[in-house]
Amino acid sequence: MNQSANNIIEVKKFGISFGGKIVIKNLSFSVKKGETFGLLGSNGCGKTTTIRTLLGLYQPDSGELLIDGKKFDPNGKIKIGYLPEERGLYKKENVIDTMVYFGRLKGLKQPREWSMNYLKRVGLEDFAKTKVEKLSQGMQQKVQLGITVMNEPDLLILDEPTKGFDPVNRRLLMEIIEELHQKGSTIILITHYMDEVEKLCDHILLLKNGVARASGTINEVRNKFHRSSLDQIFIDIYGEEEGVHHE
Amino acid sequence: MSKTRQVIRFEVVRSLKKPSFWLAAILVPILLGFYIFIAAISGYNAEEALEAGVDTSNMSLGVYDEAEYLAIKTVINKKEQEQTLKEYKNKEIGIKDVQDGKLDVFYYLPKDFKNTHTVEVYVKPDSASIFDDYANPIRSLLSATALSEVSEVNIAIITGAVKYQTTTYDAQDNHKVDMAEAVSNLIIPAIGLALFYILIIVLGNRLTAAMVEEKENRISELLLTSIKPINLIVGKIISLMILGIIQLSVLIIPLVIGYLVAKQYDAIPFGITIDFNPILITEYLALLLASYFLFTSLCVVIGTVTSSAKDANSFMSVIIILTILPIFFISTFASHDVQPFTYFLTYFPPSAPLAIMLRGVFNTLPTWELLLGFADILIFGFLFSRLATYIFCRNAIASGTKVDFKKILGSPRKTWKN
Repeated sequence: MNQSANNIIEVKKFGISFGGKIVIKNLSFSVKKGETFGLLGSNGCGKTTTIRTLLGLYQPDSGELLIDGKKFDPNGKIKIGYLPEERGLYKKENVIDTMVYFGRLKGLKQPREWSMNYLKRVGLEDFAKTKVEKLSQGMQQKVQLGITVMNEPDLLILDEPTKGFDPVNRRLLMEIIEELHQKGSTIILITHYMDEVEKLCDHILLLKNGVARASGTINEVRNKFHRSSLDQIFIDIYGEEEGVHHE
Repeated sequence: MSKTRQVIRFEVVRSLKKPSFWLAAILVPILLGFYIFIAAISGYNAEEALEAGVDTSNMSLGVYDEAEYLAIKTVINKKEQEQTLKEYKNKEIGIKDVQDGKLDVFYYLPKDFKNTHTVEVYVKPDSASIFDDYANPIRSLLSATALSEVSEVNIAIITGAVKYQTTTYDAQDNHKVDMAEAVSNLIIPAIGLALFYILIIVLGNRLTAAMVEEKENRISELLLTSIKPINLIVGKIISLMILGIIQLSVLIIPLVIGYLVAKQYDAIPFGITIDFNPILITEYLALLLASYFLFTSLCVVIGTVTSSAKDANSFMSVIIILTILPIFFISTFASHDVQPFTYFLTYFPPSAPLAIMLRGVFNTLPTWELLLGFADILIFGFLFSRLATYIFCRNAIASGTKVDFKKILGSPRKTWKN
């Protein structure tokens, strides 16, 4: 069995630019099946671009990005759950209709039953017939999260998932990530919170200006930078460009 | 296909659940009908009022015929009663009687009336009636006097009572044209034209809003990991077509029922009998659906190019103006000598549907042109839907930004190969 057979994601020599500006340059990495992978970097370093290209929303200028050995296909065998950084819902629709619609698109056999069970779990069963726009921001986040994981994805991609989340939803998200990880899902986490990374991730990749600055297990990265905290490593790397000097 | 079906189901069901859809579907035709009814009634009343002038049934009328022209001095008033005018021998007395309130209207035919053709009318109405026409009684007396001196045939000519029997031959095969049938044949295109006009007014903004919604609400990314853009766009177009057909049914069914009921009670206005020629109906129904497909595709293109409903609306105004452009040049279409500009509008995609229907109404559209126009509409409808998919692949996640055609069309980036 070769090593690439264990990889659910393979990015090879990926490059992309927008309007002449290079966003990602010659990026290569892989993610093993069943692991939790942290894609880290400051704002604008190309994390979201990499994920969008992986999911076919952008076409790369060079290289290839494969999921289970193939280019992304929404109708493919691998079940994908994606919580984008920019997320919303059909505001004028009610919660259950929205969830059932996404459930059907994701190929669920009984989307209504699954959605009702999920809403009970997160305490929103009384809001099933409520229009999304009437829900609080925190409630909408729960619905978005439900839509993301409703097909029990083989690959779960979370782009800054806790951004704007209240502590209750943050804990719910952590529980769900843990559950899916236990069931064997592969998780890609894009975040700025190093405590989440240290708690959840097996491997990490640090991007800076579209180039990989460090990758490996958390311990490998710590050893490479001779630092015990990821926060400190983050500041070391990204502080350079901000002109911040550390002892 | 299964995911496309899910999009259709979701889009159709949620639109049908909205009271606003039914309100627009029913209210716009009712308002249009009401407007036409009011306009017709107002036109009729104005015409009637113009012809009738003020009602002098309860007024006292006097006349001094110094010209000795009038042969009759009795009129039939609005109550169908004979009303004889009081004769005066002095103009000043008549005027004084009006001023004193003893007489309501005084007419004076001066001695030189036959040369001046002028009758003086003296009245003292209350202020609200100063603009009324009080000349009707004397006008009818003058007409009656004039007609009494003219032969019967001349009276018929003067009063327009001569009947003209016209035989019309068809320009193509010389057969005698049945005018009643010809009028009926114009009604089907006219109905098609009216229905298409109502469709674009009622559904235009809904079509673009449906496409912008995902971008505006930032759902595209979430959605596009579950469905290919082509499936989403096709699903949207089909669902919008279904909504259009439902809207059409809301319009057509009452029309057909109304016609059948009116026919049963022999109450069809102007004695119009619609020739239910199934071929003609099928032709125009197909043309109507193809036209709606073209319009939908255009709206979908606008929806994919823009990032918000606000941006989309400004583009939509341009599309609607281009679509109804033939209405502004209706006199050109009414001419049997088809102008180059008419041909341009007939095949220019946005204006083609109304132009073809208008030419159908004015009977200047040969069958081969109807077929060519139909093909033109279908081909451009298909091309615009492909263009919408092409743009959507590049612009699906561009929420909250202004339209950047250079970026959309010039970008080599492509999401899915369709």
